[in-house]
Amino acid sequence: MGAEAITIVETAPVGSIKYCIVGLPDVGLVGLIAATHIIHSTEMPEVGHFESDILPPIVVIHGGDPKAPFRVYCKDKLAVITSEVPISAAILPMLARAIVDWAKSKGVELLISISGTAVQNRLDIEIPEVYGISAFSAEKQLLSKADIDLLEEGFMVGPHALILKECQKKNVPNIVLLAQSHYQYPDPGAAASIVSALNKLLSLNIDTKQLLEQAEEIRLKSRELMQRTQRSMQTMQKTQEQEFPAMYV
Amino acid sequence: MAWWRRKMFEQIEALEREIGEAFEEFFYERPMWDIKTGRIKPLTYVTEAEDKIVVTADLPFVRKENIKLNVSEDTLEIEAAMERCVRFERWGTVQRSCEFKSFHRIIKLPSEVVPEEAKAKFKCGILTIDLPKKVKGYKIEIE
Repeated sequence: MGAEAITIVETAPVGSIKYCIVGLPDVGLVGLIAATHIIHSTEMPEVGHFESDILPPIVVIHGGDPKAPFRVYCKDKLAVITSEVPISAAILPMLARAIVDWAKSKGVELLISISGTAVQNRLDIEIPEVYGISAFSAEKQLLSKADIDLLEEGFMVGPHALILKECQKKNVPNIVLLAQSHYQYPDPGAAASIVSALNKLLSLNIDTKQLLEQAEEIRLKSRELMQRTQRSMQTMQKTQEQEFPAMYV
Repeated sequence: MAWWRRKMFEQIEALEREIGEAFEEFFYERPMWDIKTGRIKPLTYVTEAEDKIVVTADLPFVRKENIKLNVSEDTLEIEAAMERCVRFERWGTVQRSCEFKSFHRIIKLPSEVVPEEAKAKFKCGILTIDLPKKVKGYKIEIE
């Protein structure tokens, strides 16, 4: 392993995987909150973690056990990749490559990145809409069948943008789901919309009731991670997602 | 674009980044809680428009009637009692089983405002305060 490479170390046997969901700290912590909810509600066991010299020197203690902050969970051919720490712009290319290479090695049929897209009028939106992006026509049809509108124009910045590019390059079927969200505040409502969209898209049956009931607690307890994530979003110029694309380029 | 111009822009960008990071590090308030007072700092966001400053704050577990705002020309103080105490169990070494009962934060405003004209609303746990600026700028007639 090169000093700058990131690898996924499997700590439990992982066979082939049908769907792989990636939810990382990003806009409104939407991806992370949704990923955590899926892991908890399906009682998905941890099967691996990310290792590299370039990852932050952090160990998280849960139930007395030290754990790597970037982890992989898997149950019934559904895998979830998540992180408890924000990701710096510098390691994004290596991280995207590691995720896509691992997914490909597991024969993943669809890699789904989940996140939020900031909207200024979020307070006026009761149930956030979810938009989909894919580079492949078959996956665009999947989105259409699940009644998920395509994001027609805009910018995408950060881990999911690189994962999409990497999937395109390596021919790994990929969809990005973005829920309308607060930019700077944890948004469990947007995460619930993502889970509902995944239910439709992948024929899952994950309840969002508990997620919505715990919304205030989630907002309170993820304050500090949201603040740190905001800083990492600044370094990757995330606000560009809220700009209009140039018309004549 | 000539290579030296590109290099110059890259250097300016790197410098901007460094200054930004140093500035944030300096003003970064950590930790965001105080066990002795049972207070937590809420997440806040300050935006500056031409004629006003808008401050928003995320206040989960708070009811409108329990929010107290104190505005001066250059600061905004937010204090809000929570509906119920929130416990963090088995966390860390010093702060094991800590309990918090309110939010509190004093925000230094980026320019002077008119406190008497400030307006606030609270929706879905998010507080929004509009603070009209003291000096609003001058209109320039185009000849």
